[in-house]
Amino acid sequence: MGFATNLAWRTLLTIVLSGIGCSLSGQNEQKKDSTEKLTPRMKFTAIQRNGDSILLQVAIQVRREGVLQLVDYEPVAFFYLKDSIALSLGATLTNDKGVASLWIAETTLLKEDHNPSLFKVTFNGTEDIYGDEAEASFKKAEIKISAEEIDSIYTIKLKLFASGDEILPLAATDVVFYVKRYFANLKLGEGTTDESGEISFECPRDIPGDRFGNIILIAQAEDLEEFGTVSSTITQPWGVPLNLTDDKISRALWSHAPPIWMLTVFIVLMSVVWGHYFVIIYKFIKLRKQ
Amino acid sequence: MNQPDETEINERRDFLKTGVLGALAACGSAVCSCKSDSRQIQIEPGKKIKLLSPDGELVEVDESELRHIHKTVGVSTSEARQGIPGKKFVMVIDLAKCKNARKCVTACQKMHHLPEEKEWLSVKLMQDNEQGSPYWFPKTCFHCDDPPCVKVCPVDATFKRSDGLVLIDNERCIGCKFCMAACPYSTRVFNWDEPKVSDKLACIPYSPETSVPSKVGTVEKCDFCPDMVREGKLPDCVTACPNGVFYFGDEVEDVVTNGDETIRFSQIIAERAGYRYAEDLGTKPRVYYLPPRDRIFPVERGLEDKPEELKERFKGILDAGADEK
Amino acid sequence: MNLNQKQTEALKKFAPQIESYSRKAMMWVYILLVPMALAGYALYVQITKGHVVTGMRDNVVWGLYIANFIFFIGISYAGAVISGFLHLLNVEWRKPIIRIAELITVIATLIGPVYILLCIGRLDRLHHLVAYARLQSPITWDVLAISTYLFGGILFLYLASIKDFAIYRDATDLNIPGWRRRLYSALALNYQDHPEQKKAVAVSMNLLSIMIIPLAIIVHSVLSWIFGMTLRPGWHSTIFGPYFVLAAIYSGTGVLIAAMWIFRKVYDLKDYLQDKHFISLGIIMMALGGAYGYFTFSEYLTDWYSSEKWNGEVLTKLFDLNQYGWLFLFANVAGILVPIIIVAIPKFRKPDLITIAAVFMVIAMWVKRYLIVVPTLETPLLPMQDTRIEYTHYTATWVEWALTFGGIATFFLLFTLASKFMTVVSISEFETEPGKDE
Repeated sequence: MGFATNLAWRTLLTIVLSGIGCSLSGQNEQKKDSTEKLTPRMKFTAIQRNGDSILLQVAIQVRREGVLQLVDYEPVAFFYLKDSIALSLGATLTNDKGVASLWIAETTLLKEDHNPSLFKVTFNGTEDIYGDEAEASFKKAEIKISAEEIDSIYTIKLKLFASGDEILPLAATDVVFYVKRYFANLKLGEGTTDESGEISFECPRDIPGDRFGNIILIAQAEDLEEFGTVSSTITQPWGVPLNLTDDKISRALWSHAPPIWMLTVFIVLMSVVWGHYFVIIYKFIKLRKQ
Repeated sequence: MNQPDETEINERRDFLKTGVLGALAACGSAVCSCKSDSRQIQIEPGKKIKLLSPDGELVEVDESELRHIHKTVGVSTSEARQGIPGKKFVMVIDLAKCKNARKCVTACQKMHHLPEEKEWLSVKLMQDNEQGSPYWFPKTCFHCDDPPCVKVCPVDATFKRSDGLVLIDNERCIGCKFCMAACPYSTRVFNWDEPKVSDKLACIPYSPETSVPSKVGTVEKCDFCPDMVREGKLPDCVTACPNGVFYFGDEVEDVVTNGDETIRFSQIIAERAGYRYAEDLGTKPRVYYLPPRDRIFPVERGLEDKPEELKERFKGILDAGADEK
Repeated sequence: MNLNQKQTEALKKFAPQIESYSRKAMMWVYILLVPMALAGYALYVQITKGHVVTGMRDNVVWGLYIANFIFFIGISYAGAVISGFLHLLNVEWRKPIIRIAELITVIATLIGPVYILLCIGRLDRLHHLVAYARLQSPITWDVLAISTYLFGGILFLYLASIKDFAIYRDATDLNIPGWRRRLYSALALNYQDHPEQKKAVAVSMNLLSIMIIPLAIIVHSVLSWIFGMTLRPGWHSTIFGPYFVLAAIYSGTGVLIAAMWIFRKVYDLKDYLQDKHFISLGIIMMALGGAYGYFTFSEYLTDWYSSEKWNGEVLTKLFDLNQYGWLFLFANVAGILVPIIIVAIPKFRKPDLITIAAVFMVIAMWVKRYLIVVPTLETPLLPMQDTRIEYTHYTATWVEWALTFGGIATFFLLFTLASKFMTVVSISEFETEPGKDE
């Protein structure tokens, strides 16, 4: 299929799916070929972080014998489309979960004039999977995040706006508030921005933090039509400090070092018995000399 | 930037695959070093890929090897005895969601290169009392805080770390099986004969955190995948479960996650009356169970599409329940 | 050395034993070599193929080997009773049987730990038990206790034999080759029956006798705690320490009686191993049997009376005639009731009958050890739900049986060899007290 036809298909799909609000995912709806090869499903998303970087992510899956499988360790290439020329941004491999990611420092890729920027990802396919590509477009947006303690309540204030030549606040948009944890992020709250694109959240006081009590708080407006996922993070010493002395394992039955009393009893018993043995052997030696 | 052409993309692909191999090669010059001094690699029939080895040499590797070798690096034995600082890992198993899909069992076996008969994670069919309904009970090692197995090991081969995990060093283990006799939860298994370890597996330097490869005459068990955890990844059983039964996390952080849902550990235990199996034994397990209440699957679903041999295991429990209905 | 009349008579009587092997003795040795050779082959199979050739699997991880281990360490207590306890009480009639008792101790304690080694998966890492020993483990306690006990037993046997070695060395009419005489001479450590030497030996022996008693109690208690310290039903019982010690002394007495009877028959020692010895030992056996029976009754009554689920499950296995019921019945009837009845009734109190009771008792005690190890392991807390029969029910394989009988044959062989090296009745024990008539 040519580029133009592809674009036509995708525009149609975009209109269909935009009502659900996930128009940024480029989905491929090719007819299944009569040959052996399988059609991949590509989900192309982007996260704009802290107004200064973009994470482009594509998840590739394929349906084999009715089971949806990940396409892992396959190369994909990301491009920025400027005036119909694809500028290479970089290439990565999909990981063991079938997801390929590319971080880009945001310099001038996203236009300041509130027009969408176009990105593309290509997948060359494998022996039994067709190659494919997906496109996505989004505009520059960011969340301004600040932290304050108001009336002894930890408060995070957010302003969500489309950034560029002028600031256009994004009103009535859902924002989710997380704290970063080791394996995943814990949701602390969610809400909707007001007319000026602002919202504030309360941070609970009992969240365990690192040694100094730091926690990383994340605010995210997820899967927005025109902007992708917009997120912002801030580190605050609002957590409960970690007590590393808890790591020390004291003498116990199950520890490496035995309890002192056990060690003492053992030494005493062994010394007494073997001491007697040596006394007797000493007597033997004396016996021999007589 | 120029428009990339085909050759550039291919070279880039090769170069990037090196990155993957680099990580794998770190898992002990994985495919080569223990065979001989030379850079000879076991080549099996299959698609070959040219890669740069970490030493800067161009080598050919069978593509399948990239995927089948244990994916992560293991730390040294002495470091494996220290826990990951500031963490106390804990697991929550939601019995209301388990339908004996056994994806956890197969994922664990695949991860640790275990044969089908060896189960470090087993799914039992439990019935608490005659009136109660049977339920599926996935059982890992409980990594107890007062572990009866660690107490009795005469050579310190099994040990408890500061991060809560109980691991086995199968290079220290003498195979006396006292730990197996002492564990009240039947969680440990023994290598009665030489485990079928492929050549490439045998080359991996052993770490108590990967527990691979198995050795004859030693004991082994579920290890909560500390090698994955070190990288911030969840153990395979957690991610493999299609119903999100397993939640894994850090008690210090007070958060557990099953890959989709992330919840506060203390909250879920309090709200859903989380309990520990055989609490009165005083072993203080680190695995909590959420009672099989408001189940999302009827228990009989667990036997659907399962081989006869598996159904044999549960004869007498589900039949009895069915008769009474 | 100067011998009194009794000792001279004894030496003349025992000389043929230690001078040469009769044809019967040679036949006996050859017969013993058969199970030993089979055991050697079984050992080879186990070492090359791994423990999969035994019947042990993930649930029943300990089987015949551990039962044998407990059994052999148990019967070694013959020496503890006679040489330790009775020595301190200075009971006169014990003198002819000391040597046999001490030999049982040493030989059994040499063979018993071999069964532990057979149970260890990685014999190439045995040194880890020393290099990386953890003090909190009952196995470490066991290693220390048994090595201490073995050393003490050998020391005691040696001490009690110095005088005899001196006698053999000096006995000119003893027809032994020169190298043997030199060996006895070396072993005798220049013992010339001087008063100071006599005193040194006597004091050392008293010291060891005192030591042996607490040592014996500790050794088998520690062994029992390998089971008692676990959380398993049937094992986690506070009675295990004293129970095992008592069982050991009891079975040791039985083996002693049997050994006495065999030597009496084979070497025609009616004048030395007299009826009164059998009767005295028989009465000790009866008393111990009563005590052992009381402990057994207490253990099982307590488990049976209360409703605790897991103990109940083990008991069901032991009482059910389709499972372990017959073995359990045998162990208790032949092991406790029969010996008591036979010795209690005066008409039955004869050496032959007492010996038969003792032999059955020893076999029953072996069965009892099996019943302690296996049924509990077949009753884990979590349902096994395993279709592989070898994982849910333990059946010993030919390898394990071969090694069991090989061990028994080794025990007999070592005894035979020992009886050819020194007289089974200690000659030096016939020395009279200074000042008494001969």
